[in-house]
Amino acid sequence: MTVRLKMWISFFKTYHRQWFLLFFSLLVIVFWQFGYPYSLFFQEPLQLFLFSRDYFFNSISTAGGLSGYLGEFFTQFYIIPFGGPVIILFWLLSLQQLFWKILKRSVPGASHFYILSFLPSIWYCTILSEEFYLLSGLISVVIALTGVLLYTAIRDFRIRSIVGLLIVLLVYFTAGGSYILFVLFTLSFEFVKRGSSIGIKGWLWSCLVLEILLAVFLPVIYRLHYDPVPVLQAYITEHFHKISTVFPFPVVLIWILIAISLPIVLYFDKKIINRGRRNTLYIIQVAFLLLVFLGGHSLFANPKAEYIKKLDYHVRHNNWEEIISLCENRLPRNAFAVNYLNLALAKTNQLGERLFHFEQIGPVGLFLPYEREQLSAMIGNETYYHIGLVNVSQQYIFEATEAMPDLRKSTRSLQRLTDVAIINGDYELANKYIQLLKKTFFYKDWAEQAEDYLYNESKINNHPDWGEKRRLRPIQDYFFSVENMDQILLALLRDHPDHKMAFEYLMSYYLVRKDIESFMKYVHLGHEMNYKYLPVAFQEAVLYVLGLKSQEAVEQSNFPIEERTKNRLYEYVDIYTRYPNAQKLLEKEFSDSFWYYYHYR
Amino acid sequence: MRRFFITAGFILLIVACSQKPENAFQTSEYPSIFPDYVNVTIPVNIAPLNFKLTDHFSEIYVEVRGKNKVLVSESNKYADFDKIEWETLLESNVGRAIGVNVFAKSDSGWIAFNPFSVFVKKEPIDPYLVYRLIAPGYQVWSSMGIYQRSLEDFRQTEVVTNRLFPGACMNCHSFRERDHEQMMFHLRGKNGGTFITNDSGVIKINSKPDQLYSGFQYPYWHPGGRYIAFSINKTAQAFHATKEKRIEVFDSKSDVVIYDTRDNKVITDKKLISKDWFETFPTFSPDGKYLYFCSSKATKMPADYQDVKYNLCRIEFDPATGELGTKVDTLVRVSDTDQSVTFPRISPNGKFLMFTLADYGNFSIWHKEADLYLLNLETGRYRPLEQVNSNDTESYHSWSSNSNWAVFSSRRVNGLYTMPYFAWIGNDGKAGKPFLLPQKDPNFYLNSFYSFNIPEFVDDNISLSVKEIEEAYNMEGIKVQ
Repeated sequence: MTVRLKMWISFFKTYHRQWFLLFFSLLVIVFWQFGYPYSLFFQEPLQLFLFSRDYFFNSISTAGGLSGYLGEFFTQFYIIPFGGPVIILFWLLSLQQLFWKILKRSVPGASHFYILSFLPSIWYCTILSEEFYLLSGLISVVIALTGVLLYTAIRDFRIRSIVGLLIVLLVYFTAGGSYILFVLFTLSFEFVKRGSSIGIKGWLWSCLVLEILLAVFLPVIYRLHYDPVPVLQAYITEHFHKISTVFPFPVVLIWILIAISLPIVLYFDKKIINRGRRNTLYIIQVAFLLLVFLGGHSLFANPKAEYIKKLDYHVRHNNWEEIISLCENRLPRNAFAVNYLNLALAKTNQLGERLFHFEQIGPVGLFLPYEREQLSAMIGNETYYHIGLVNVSQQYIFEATEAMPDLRKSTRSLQRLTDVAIINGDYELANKYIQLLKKTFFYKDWAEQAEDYLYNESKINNHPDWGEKRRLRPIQDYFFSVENMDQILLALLRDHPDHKMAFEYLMSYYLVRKDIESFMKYVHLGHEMNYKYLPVAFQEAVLYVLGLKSQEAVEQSNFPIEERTKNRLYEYVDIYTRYPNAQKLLEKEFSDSFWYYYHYR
Repeated sequence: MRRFFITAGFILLIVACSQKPENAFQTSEYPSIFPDYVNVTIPVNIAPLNFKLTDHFSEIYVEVRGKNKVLVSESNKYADFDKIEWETLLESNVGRAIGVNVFAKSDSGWIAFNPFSVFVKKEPIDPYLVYRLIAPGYQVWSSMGIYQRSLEDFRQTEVVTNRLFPGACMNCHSFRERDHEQMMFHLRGKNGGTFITNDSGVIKINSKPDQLYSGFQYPYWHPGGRYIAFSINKTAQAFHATKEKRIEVFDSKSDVVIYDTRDNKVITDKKLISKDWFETFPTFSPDGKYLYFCSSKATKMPADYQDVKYNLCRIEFDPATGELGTKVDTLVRVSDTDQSVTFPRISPNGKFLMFTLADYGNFSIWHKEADLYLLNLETGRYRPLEQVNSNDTESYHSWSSNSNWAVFSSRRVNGLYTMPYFAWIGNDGKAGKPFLLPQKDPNFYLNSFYSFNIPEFVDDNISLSVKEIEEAYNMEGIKVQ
């Protein structure tokens, strides 16, 4: 071993805690900033955190309300690049530091278990990658551990046992379900400390019994006399998982793990440390952490969802070319992703040109049906909004709000509802939403700008987005039905014969359904769009129909079709009719054509 | 003595906190305030009418002048009156008008607005209002529930909400003559049913008899308490494309049945169950001898949804036997109105019948043109309540126990979120200018995401315990015969 290496090892040993902290911080930052940044960007607008006294008092008036409030407060900073990772790191480090301090204080030999102190933080880091788990849950655990730290700091067992009862109450009302962690830990602590100089003695053990009774009956009293909630919710409270009826087992594991850490550390301390097998212990701890990280990642993280959230982010920021570029690198197959891709193609006037350059999955890839849940409604609203069906967009986003799993409102939906209210001239309604958004930190400017538009018709008409949507809105009334999208689009085209996006969506709708007859019936509507040539996918479809008649029909067609497309048709037909393994031969050159889609998809 | 201290304290408070602006610029305009309480008529026992100015001012000063008394707002941000002082002021001014002076501080100094009046009626309003709070959505709902609000102060408490039963929907709460102890509501979802409170607590009935195509829907209690009339409806929704309308809710089938709570059976009659007619919105007369309902010729739905227009009809009812008469009278005819009647509600003194009139259909809350009308049951004449109606929707309504007040839901504030308004109805049928349910903070409605659904007066605080409701929820619903 070289001197230099020995020096490094010595340096590492001296500052091993700092090294671990640094390594852990890097891991968390890399995990969130480079692994799942869009998951955080996606979460942020799905809440409506208001800077107002009423909001604060309403929030903290339920069990665990303070952790919920703090969770929302910090989540709003996810909007800033690096904001989310840094905030999560802060709370994970708080958890680790508290746990470490408590361990160190409670067990004499705990210094060998420093690595173990990262376990709850690593596990929680992965839990948070499941979008339904809330930052407020992590904060709740931190608050409970602060209570534990305070409890364990009291050396006088008489004071400690009384204060313990008070902390149970305090933790329940501020941090909610994590009061269970506090109670479990105090039991564990007193068990470990029994017989020691600071251990509880005599009748004061009854305080622990009281603490258990308090833990059992406090939620019962709470739900019967203060806040009528189901039994599970009264105990666990609603700040761990977005769906209040879900039992947050991964978090409960942390409560249990922290509580039983004392006897475990004691046990291993005697078994291993005393026998001089410290290195083994460190290796086991590191291996265990790695295992927990990898296991947690595979359990909770969802790389596929991250891809859709990335597209969603770019849709919200109108980065249409970026979306297409992303889809070129990774073909979208999921209905949400295909929807966003097609919208990006339409917004950049490429839908008719490049429709079949990507894998199409039928009408659902163009228009999402409403599924009575948040995601499809929220994502689905975008296409309807951009095509001018603002009432449908309003319906979808309103339903998305009502279908929010945590039963709360969101800035994202409020912004879209404001958009539609302004477009429709419902200014009082728009003002209601604007006034709420003005109470947020990051949407205040947007709301103030929107406020300037209220009642100002000419200003709205000249707005690049709202003005455009006003011009594209339906004029004639009808009932919307996603099953009859072609009729909806035809009606929109009757109202606005030059509505290019509606035309391309209509033609695309027929083509992905392979409804050639309807396509040919309405393709003439494209005359109003001033195309030099029809978009390529539409040329291919027209040529396919003409080609079935005769080559003369193809050559003498009045449709604006390029020679190149005709030549490609001949080439395609040649292979298609001559070779039994035509699909394979055609795949390379023609998989991006309507003909290939029609024959083989 | 108590009053002395209160008054002394109040005067001290005024001296300490508020100074009436001097040399204010006098304008002839009324202040633009929310809620609009300018020249409204109110009952003697209503909670303080707190309000705010709709335009921005750095400070305001509001005083209310009555006989021998001046009440000053405790806040200089919005008008916020002390409850006890307010009560005293109203009590000493029954049958009179109180004057409200509003001063506002702008950049150029104080402005004194034209004082407005508030007319105080000695006839009190029932002490509680029960309503459902729900977002005005389409097909799904998040938080929702039935709440009660004391009208004499600002306390709102839960009756039953889906915070206790996640995912559930509760609707159509109804009371026997505003009796807080005799209530019913439907709870949809897992373990759902119709919940009825009676002397023995809360029971749950499985309100979908096998031979009926739907469960019980819109209810109305017979004043005797034994019967509840229900509509049964096959309802669907459709969504409009243009901005003028959002939703169309329509029945493709509907009939009226009567549930006998004593014998747990459904009474049906061919005159109320007919394939050729849609019958809905049953209402008993206060003497219990008539059943009123709305009836429209059945059409092909949803294609002809705009052709569905309801008449107002009635039929005799014998509470002793539960039998209906033989003849159906039509009181308001589509042939006269070319519009559609919904929600017939008769004043407890039997004098008037209030109904909603919309262009078509039966879901008037989504009809901007829907207005309230008053039918004089003695003369048979009806007219719109012009003092009460607005350019936006007026829909559900009910009467106070003294027949002098009506509460109705209106969308006049922002066109979407329904809010409860109260209107004075004199013995001659003339109405006063209505007022919005007062809130402690006038920004309440701006911050709320809920519509106030089905406002109903009740005579006291409903005290259903969590235990009672849960027990009923978990029991097997009693099968209706």
